[in-house]
Amino acid sequence: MKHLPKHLQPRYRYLAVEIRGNGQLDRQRLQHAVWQSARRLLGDAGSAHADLTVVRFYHHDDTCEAVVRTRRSEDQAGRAAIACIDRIESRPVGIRILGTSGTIQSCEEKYLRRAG
Amino acid sequence: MRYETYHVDDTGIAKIMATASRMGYDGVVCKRSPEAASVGTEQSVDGDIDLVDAIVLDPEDPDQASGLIGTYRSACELLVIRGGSPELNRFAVEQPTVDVLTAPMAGDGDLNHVMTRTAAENKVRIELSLHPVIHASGGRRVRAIQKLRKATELIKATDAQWTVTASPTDPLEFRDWRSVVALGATIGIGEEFTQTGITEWNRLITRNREGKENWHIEPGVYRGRYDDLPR
Repeated sequence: MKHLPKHLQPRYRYLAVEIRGNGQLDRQRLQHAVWQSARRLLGDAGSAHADLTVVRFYHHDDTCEAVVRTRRSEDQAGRAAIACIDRIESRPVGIRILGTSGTIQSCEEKYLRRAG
Repeated sequence: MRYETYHVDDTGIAKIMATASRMGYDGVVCKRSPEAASVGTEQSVDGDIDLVDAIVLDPEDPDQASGLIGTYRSACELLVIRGGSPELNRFAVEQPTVDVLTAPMAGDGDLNHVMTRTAAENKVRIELSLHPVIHASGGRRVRAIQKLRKATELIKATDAQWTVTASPTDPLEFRDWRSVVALGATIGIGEEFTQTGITEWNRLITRNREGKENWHIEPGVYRGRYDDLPR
C-alpha cells in the first residue's frame, strides 16, 4: 500500500513519563496500564482518538522512564489518562509527566536521563 | 505560585517537600487535624517549598463547628472545614473566618446557588478535589465528575471563589500541576478554571499572611476596623 503524502500523515506528540514505585515494571505492563486508564477515562472512542503508545521504555534503579506517543490534538487527553494511572498490577505507582516534544529524539534529550 | 495540599501523616516532611518540588509546585498546604502537631514554619525556610499550616475541622454539626472555629482560627494559617451535609455547608459558607470548605458534596452534602453566593460574599473558597477522578473508576468516578461539574457551574454562575487539588494522601499520589490542569480540561471543568484553582491557594495564603495578625478573636469579635479586615 502506498505511504500517505506528508500533509495527510498523522501528527504526534511524545510525552516523557517518569514512573516510581513498581520495580517489576516493563514496557508491556506499562502499555496495558496506559490503555486501561485511557479506556476508563476517555472511553473506547476517546482512547482510539488519543492513540497512546509506549514507544520507548527505560529501567533505572529507582524509577522507570518512558516515551508515550499520542496524537497531537489529543495530547491533553493523553496527559490526563496517564495521570490517572495510580496502580500497575495492584502496586501503587507515582506518575510524573516530564514534558512533551514533537520527536522522540528531542523528547529523550530534553527530559530523560537516557539520551536517544 | 502553585500549591498542592497534603494530609500530613507519618511520611517525613522532607520527602513531601522533595516530591512537591519535583512536581513543579511552589508550596504545600499541610492539612492536619486539630490534635496533630504543626509541621513547623522553620522548615519552610530551607529549600524552595513553602509549607503552609492548615487545620481541617470535621465537625458533626454547626454548633460544634462554631466552637471549633473559635478555638482553632488563630492556631493556623488556613482554616478548612469539611462539609458533607447541607447544614454544615450552609454554616461554613456563612463564616468569613473560614478559608476553605472542602468535600462539600461528600455524603449527604450538596451545593446550591444560595450557598455559593453566600460563599462568594464571605470569600470562603470551595475546594474541588480531583482525587476520586484520578483514583476511582466506573460509577464512583462518574458520580465524582458529575458533582465537580455541578459545583463548577454554580461557582461560575455566582462568582464564588474556588481551589483545586488532587488531594494526595501519599507521595506517590502527587501529580504534576500540568497533568492536573489537563485532567480538569478533560473532565469538562476547563483548563483555565483548573489553573486558577491551583493558584488560588497562593492568593488565599498571601491574604492571610498580609492581614493583621490574630485579627480574629472569637466568632463575631474581630480586631481592627471593618474595612481593614482580610476579606
